[in-house]
Amino acid sequence: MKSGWFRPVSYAGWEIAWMRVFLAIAVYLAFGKIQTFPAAEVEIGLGRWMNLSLFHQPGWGLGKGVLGLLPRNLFQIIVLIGMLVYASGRLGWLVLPVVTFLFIGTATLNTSQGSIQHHLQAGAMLLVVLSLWYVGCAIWNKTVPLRALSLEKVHRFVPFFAIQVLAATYVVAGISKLEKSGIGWIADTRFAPVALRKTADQHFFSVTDHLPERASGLFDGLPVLVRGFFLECPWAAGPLLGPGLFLELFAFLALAGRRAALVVGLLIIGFHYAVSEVMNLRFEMNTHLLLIFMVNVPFWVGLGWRKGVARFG
Amino acid sequence: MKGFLLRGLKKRANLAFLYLPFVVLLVVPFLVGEEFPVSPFPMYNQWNEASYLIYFQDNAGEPVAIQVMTGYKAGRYRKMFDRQQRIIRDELATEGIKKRLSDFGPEEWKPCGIWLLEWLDRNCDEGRLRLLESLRPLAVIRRDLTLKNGVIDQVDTLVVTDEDREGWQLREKEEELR
Repeated sequence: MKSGWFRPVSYAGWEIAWMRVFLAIAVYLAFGKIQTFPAAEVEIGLGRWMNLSLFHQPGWGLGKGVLGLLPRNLFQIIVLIGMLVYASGRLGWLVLPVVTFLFIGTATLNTSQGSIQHHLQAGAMLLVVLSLWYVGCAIWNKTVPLRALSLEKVHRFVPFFAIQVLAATYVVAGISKLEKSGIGWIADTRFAPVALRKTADQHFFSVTDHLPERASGLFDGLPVLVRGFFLECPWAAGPLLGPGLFLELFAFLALAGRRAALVVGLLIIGFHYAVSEVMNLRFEMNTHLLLIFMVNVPFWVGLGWRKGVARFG
Repeated sequence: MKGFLLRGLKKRANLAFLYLPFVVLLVVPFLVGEEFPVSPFPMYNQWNEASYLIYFQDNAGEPVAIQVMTGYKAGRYRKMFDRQQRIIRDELATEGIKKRLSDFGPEEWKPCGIWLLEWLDRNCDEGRLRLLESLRPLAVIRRDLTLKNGVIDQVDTLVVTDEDREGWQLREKEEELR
């Protein structure tokens, strides 16, 4: 692949192998944390075509389970095996669609209670795009064997597509803000303290005094200080939250190359950290995917190591 | 020259094709709306000077740690309450009554609160429901927050209690007899 701005980056085989391993871990962890419900209250996505209760434990249809395993445990094992096979670099066309179906089914049930959650969409969409890519390549190789794509080439496009999915997620969120509020969104951030107070109160009424006071270290006290600062000085919300909109709108710059992906990835992770601490909105899977595909830690650690060895012997 | 141009165009077409996922993912959310995993990510797409939250009180009037007791955060209940309000708004609209959510009051909030209490009974594990039993009747409280002259004003309103639910009194009598 040729290198250049906005062209697919030439990743080394070992980088892509690490990405597969980390993606497998991220998907498995995220799947295990999806909260499900006995039934869907609202028909949404996959729920329009099938009964999503199947994805809840103890589950519907499979009754007491298979071999003593409840459906959710069984699905968790299937996801683990599927992602292990994918991490090995083989049978992506077979295991990814299965994992994608289970992930989307379970996550759709999570968000079908009339209270839409937004922390799993990017991960689910990434699985959809990768499934389509692997299945599409498998069909191509069967139908046009003379121009078949090597497995190495198929894997090599994965990070490029993954960054597109992640970038699109944030650009859409930015456009959505512009569509609803226009550029006045930035000026309206003076009302952000109301949202911050709502978040703080909701957190209190979720746990009241059932959670022990956390240690008063810097990282524990900082969110409380920031929230308090915004409540005291509403005018400060604009200059501090406004750049978040531009970060979302320009997330596509991550496609420009390795360095751009690193910078955009780190900025968005920082943004997520601030939002999760101050607004109590956790986007764990997004953060993991940004670390894997945009920040690409192994590459930069490897580069730093090589440069260090070259310089200091 | 012609061949060179054609080759250049073909390369650009190939590159454009590789960006197909990005383009599709930018357009589809705005055409389809909220259909998991497709989403236009509308969270915090507008900031308002007023907002509200929902919380629960026990039979002694103390706030219930709803996530600890039911497994679900207070924010989830607020979103569901909001959705029920929108359903009522749309139903009113079909009857020719146009009412904004900000004009809603206790009359419209009541069915939303009852829906929440019933959702809780449908979706909580039996063990959690048994724990909740000693705190019942539960009350659903709406806390309205409004930013006025740099200060956030707070108003708590009782929306509904378990006792307002159909069949609740009967259930109480049955419990007493047992």
